[in-house]
Amino acid sequence: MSSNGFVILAYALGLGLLWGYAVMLFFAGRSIGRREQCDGGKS
Amino acid sequence: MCSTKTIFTRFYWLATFVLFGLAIATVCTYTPTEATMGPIQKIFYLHLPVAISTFLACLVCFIGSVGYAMKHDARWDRLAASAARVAVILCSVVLLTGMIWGRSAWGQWWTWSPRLTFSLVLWLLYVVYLMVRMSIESPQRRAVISAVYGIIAFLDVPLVYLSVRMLPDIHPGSVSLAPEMRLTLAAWFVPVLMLTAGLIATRYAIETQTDAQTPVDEAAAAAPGRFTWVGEVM
Amino acid sequence: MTTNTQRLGSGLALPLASLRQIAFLVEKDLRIESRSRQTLGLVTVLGVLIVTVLGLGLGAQNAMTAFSATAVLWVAYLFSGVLCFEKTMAVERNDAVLAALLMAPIDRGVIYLAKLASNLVLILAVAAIVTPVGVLFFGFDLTAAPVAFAVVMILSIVGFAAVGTLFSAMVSSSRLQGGLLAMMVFPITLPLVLVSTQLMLLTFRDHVAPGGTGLGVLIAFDLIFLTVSWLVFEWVLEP
Repeated sequence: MSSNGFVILAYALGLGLLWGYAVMLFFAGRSIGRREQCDGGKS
Repeated sequence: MCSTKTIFTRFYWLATFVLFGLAIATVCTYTPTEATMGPIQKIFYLHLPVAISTFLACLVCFIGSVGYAMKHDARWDRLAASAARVAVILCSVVLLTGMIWGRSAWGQWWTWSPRLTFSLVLWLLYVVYLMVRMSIESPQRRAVISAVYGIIAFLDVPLVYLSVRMLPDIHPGSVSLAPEMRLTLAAWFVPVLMLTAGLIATRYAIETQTDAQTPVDEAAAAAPGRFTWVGEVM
Repeated sequence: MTTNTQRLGSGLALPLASLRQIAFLVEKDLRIESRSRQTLGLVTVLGVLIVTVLGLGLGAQNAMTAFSATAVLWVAYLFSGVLCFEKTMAVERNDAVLAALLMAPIDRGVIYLAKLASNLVLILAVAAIVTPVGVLFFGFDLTAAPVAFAVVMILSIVGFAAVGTLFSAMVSSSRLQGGLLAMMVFPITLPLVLVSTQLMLLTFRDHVAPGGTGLGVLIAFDLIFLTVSWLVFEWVLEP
């Protein structure tokens, strides 16, 4: 692989991991919020 | 539905995303290629800000741990836990980008060079922090043990730093950066730090919501086989 | 943290009484050990076994040098040490002895120092048997600088025991999965392993007496973690 290839690989992996985690947190937060709504605040 | 807080959160994440786009555009078009190392040096603009953010996340974890030790308030514990999770993610990025750099520069994925070793030990320290949290059921006990571990792990970091310097080094020394390179670095520091803060805050909010939904007695009696998905683990 | 300052005060006022208490508690631990002979035998055999396995694995392939001996010895120390810490804490858990000990008019910092001393006696006894075996198997020539070797290893083992004693007190109280103690202690002690193996390499290969940063890191490790453990021990102990 050329060094440009390595640079692209590094950025793709790094940014993918960081933003992937952010997206995962987004969905985790949404599912918890939905659970709260389903409860209707009864519990 | 659209409270001020929600609007601020959306604006914050949008701004972070846009700034990341700008930073990528900068490194692609504006930044000159370094003379001796060639294009591979461009990893540096992601590598260094993420490495600094890792230290900051570890520092936040330490502050949370000390806070819990002094005040015995679950909020400090949540802060420490969120920061540790983010620190592990950031440190993984540091390790991966460092390894790719090493592979390109010296032809090996792994060398026991001081900096790579330091990142690995840091990563291990905080992965173990998360494992310790996962293995303890009682919330109070978990908070106490992880606070002590969090304090000791952070105090260990400077010792690790000093000890890895005894290893033979093949890293380049300090590189003088051209003004354009400094600007690129600054353009990367801003979104990476914003992302770090945003991730810790989001994780903290989730932690708070989860704790509020789990009554204390239920959490204490939680069966080991309780269903967890990957989102709850990280 | 008021209790800590109070403890500091009483500790300074009555150092002799504290020392007597420590000696008493250590004597109790060692008497239990000498009667049951549970820990020492088990741990020593484990240490010798580890050295043998690694010696076989590396030696049969000619992949070892005399300098691998320090790394191999470290693996043996770490695993037998963790087992030691677990056992000495388990002794207190049996028959709710710890609850009684906590009720006794003894400062908890004193309990920590006593436990640490018992652990040190045991682990140094193990090291005294495992080290010659490792040195023999790996053909490591200790005669060049035996004192430097002893100083570096003892300094490292003190730091290791300081952290291990604290963590064993925290982990033993809850019904936790085995292996958690090892997982907590190993990453923290990595600087000790790194520094002592590098120092041994410098001493025996390059004939440079240990000193400078390396020795400084070992001493700093011991002092920092002894102080922190002593401070937080009261808080983590739970009957």
